[in-house]
Amino acid sequence: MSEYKEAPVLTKILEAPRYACSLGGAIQSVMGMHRAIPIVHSTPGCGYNLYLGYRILAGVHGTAYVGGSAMPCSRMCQKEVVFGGEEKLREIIHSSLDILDGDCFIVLTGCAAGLVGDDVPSVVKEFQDGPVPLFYVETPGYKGNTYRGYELLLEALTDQAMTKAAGTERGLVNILGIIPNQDVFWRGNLREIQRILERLGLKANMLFGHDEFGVDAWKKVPQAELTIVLSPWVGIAPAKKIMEKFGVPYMVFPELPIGCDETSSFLRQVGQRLGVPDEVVNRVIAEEEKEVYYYLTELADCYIDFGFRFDFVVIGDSNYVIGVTKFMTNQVGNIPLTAVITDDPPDQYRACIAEELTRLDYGLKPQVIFESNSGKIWEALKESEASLILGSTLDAPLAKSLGAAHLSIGFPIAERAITNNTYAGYKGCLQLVSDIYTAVMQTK
Amino acid sequence: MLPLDQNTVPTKESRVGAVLAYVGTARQLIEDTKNEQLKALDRSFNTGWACSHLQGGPARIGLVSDAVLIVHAAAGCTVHLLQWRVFPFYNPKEKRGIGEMQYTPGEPANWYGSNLSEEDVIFGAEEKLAETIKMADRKHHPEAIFITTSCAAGIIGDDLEGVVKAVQPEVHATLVPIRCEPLKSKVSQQGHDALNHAILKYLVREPKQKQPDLINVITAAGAGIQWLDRVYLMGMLAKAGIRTNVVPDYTTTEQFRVMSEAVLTVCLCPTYGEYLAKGLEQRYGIPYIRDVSPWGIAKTEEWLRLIARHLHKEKEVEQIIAEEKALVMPQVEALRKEFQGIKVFVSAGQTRVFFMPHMLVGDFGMKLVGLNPYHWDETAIVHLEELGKAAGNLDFFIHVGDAQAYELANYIRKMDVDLGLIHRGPLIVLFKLGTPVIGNVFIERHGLRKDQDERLQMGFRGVVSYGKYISRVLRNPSYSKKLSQHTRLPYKQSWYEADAFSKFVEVEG
Repeated sequence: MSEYKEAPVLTKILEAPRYACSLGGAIQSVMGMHRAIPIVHSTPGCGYNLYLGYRILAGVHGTAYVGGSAMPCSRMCQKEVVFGGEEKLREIIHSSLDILDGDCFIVLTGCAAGLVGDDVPSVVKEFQDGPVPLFYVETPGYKGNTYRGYELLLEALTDQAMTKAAGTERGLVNILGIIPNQDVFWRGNLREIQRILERLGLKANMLFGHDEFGVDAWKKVPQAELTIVLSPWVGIAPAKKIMEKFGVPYMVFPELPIGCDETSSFLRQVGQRLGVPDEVVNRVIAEEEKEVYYYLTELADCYIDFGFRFDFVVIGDSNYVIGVTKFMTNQVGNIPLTAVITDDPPDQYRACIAEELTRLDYGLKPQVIFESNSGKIWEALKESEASLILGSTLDAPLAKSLGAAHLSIGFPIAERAITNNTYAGYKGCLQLVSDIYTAVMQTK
Repeated sequence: MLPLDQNTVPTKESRVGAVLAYVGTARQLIEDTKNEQLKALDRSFNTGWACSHLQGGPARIGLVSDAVLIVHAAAGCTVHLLQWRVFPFYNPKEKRGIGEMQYTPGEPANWYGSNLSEEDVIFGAEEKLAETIKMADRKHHPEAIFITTSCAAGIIGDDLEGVVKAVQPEVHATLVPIRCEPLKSKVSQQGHDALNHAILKYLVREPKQKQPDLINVITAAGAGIQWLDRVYLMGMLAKAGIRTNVVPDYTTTEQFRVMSEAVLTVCLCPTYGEYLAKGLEQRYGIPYIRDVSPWGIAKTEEWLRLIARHLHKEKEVEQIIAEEKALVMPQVEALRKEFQGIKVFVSAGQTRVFFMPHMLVGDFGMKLVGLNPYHWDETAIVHLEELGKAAGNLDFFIHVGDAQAYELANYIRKMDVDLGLIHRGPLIVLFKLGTPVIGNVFIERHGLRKDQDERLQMGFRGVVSYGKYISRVLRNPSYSKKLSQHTRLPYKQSWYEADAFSKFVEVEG
């Protein structure tokens, strides 16, 4: 086969990317807010397509409060493209307020509204005196990906929903960086992070969750003592904005903390920032670690007996790849071969991500690849020596061709129903080792 | 006449008078349609629904094993296509067959998104598209490359046909542009017309020689008519000596090309296949069957006999009918005893609202109390009239609306319904209400195929397995009942008390 040189314009072409557009990220995020109602201002199919794309492939989630075919849509069509869609938007806002019972409504725009140039802020302003808050976020698909959509929502609501607080609520922390459904374990992960922070006597404002954390929680963001970003990049832009507007400082913990080392380090850092007494932090850590090590010790019997030492590859969002690689390497003795970052971090964050991944114990260093195009990922790994692939369902054929075990830990994930499972924190690492055991034993 | 030489297809609204909003009885709907008195209605409150581009026709190219699909769109448009890759039921690996018929399922098709960025929508992305086509041709050596556009690509005005014309000489694959900017029509099924138009315009070739034992069958994986039904139905035809060329799911490019050589076209879904069947008739004189579909015993018999008459296989088909009926009728009788008089409501696309109830009323003795077709058009008059004959009347309720769950949630509790057969979308909304509803589509989500017949829906054996499924739901409604006590729908109490159709608004035709 002749050597084919790719045209530069093709570097942005995507084969099976593991994310959607900014409207997709915003819809999933609003669906993750308690009693918040998205109003999609776009053509008829955007909302349902983006909902459906995530539904099964984010580990099976439902319509939440108002998702799927309950989600209002202005249904722009030919006429609105020619004459503008503001009238349609006005109509759908009006009727949504009439029919639907929510704590806030959030207009999200798609490509059509963006290209037509509808003046969404002005239309939304007409409803500002209504009984329920109405916000808007301009999220046309071409503006960016899922991660950017999540950030756009946070930034928009920082401007529209939050006001300067009279004072700071002691111990209140905001958590950013975990995107509903893009992180398929988001519900369990948020719960575990909340649990361990509360053990330190802090109050975690998770912003998303099915039974609390709706618009009232978002309004409390300016009162927090600290914003914690659990990603090397997703959420930093809005965290900065929150700091600039309301003086809430932020701390970046560049990963999903998984296992004892990282979770304890996370708690120590947070404790230090917020003045939690050392004895409290140390006691919590000791208790939590004791529990984890009990199970890890029990598991070790078979793990060592069956030769559970893997050359592993992790493919996924950067906070997962860092968290999983550190846990797998530093805590349970595996060899990191390759770390593939699929969430397309902006250039300025890439060196920092690579550094996190190469600062592992015993001088171990995985190869680090930044790539969102699945075809290119598989091409890069086709000669891999890996015996375990931690990625998405998309990577199952790759694992099979390599004779490696495979476990889906991120979107898109087709073979697992995820409820309150978590890979985060102390609890999560136990779930991860047990899932890996199952995956290995089921490999044929 | 279909404009087969044009770049774009007419909208379903203009071509067959499609509407998305109506309420009345079946009889009124038929009369209003015949008298051209259907009002042009929209809603002041709409929910979103399937994208004509992505859940509609073009996505099905994901099941053509030697083709590549390029989606000229922003990154979000392709997220739904990930399913074609990761779900085993879309790409069943094992070879299956009945008698001489063998189907070898393909590998997951490749697709690419052009990932339109802010820069692209300002400066245009034709070069990007052209390079993507060339790259896909080089990398995969496909027989065909299907290229679809999106709202964004349509609005910025990228010249799809121009790009295709310029690139075609440089590539091996046949390039098939599908013009389906979803904002053209409000009807999500528009996507099928666009796909079918492109197949006719770019793929179907002049017949080399007619094949007198070959028929085209247009399937409907998107409507949940998938692998098992297809294997079973085609197996029966094979036994009668009838060869089937099945498109567009689980197929190859060559199968599109030879459609002109068949002697008959059969649509398993009247919506999905309509444009293609009519186009094949218009261009090659191939007759088609789309008013009868093999749901329920009587219609399956009628369907088989109609096909047999075209191919002169009456004797063979009678033999099959006798054998199959001997096998299933005792079980159908038992199911009829169980279901007799049950009041049933159906919400879905055309194949399931107008054809599936033949099984419900004809074989199970249920009483049809209402239908919610996603859209209505004049080609469906005959289907509804036929259903009226089977049901014994045309007085049942009809609400036309494409997955407008809030309307269903409003009226379904006020109706006297024992069982709702509801399509994905409104299904979960009604399930949470505690109404006895089930998903009416058997998508082969899992591999529990101890008994292959277990997931059938169509043909003789489909009556038995569908009946068994309904029986399970009716015997144990616990999940829905319990959920309804612990979950809340987003509608205000005042909405349940309002007129369910108070959000209809008249628009200029």
